[in-house]
Amino acid sequence: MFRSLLVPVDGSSHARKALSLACQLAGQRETFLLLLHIPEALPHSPPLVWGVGRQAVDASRETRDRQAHELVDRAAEEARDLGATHVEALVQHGDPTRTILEVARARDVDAILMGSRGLSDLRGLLTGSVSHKVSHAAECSVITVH
Amino acid sequence: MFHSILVPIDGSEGSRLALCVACKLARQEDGRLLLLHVPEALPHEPLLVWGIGAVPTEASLEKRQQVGRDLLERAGEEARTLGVEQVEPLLAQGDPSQAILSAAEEHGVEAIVMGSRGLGDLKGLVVGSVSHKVSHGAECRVITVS
Repeated sequence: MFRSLLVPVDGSSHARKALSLACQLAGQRETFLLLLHIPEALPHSPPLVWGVGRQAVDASRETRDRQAHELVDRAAEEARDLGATHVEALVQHGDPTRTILEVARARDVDAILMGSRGLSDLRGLLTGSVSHKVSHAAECSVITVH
Repeated sequence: MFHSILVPIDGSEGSRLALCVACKLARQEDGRLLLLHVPEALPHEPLLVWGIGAVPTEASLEKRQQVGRDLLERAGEEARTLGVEQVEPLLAQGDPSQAILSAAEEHGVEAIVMGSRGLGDLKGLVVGSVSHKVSHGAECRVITVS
């Protein structure tokens, strides 16, 4: 059904649920999973899965980059543990919604699979969550997990 | 991951894609699909998939229920073609979000998989779509597909 799935991961428990669903959908088939992490400096310290990734606002660029790669690498490891065979981990910088849409288009994925609310969405109740914006603007299918 | 999944079916393309995703998930667990249709009087004549055709606005409830049963039958056939053996059709009445939430609770499903915008949601842009209400009101996992 889907040959390639883009899964944005931000270290939230929602992203983890989305990842496990993506692995389920990928199954034993040759589905390609592209895990995307977009580091953000958050004004609060959210509880994180995958242990790393909390971005102190004052951390250096190198520290943040290293943490971002650690986070997405651990997510990729988890995906492999859940049976996914083709997994790529990617770190990109920029506005989350726009970056997700750009990567989806550039890599021509069949679907984007994401949690309904990510870490940056605690402040996004008024402006709409990233997943909401992505689901309206994407050219491919968007699967949201709540 | 999910042994029982509720899939609201309204004949829209979104509900068909949701059915495909649900089948993929159910098949791996030898899971059970509950297909739910809630007849609605729509202010417009929507185009329905699965070859049922549009239902005139002035159609009686009885007529809409008959169309609903046909729709559920075809959706069930499609699910079986996609490898799911346990498929149960269910016709409910009332407000779609309420009916979906009640059915989910009553049957104790582990997940609801639904299109993000059904036929009734053309009027729902302001008050919020059915999937939005369901994802906030449900106690189980809600997966929306757009």
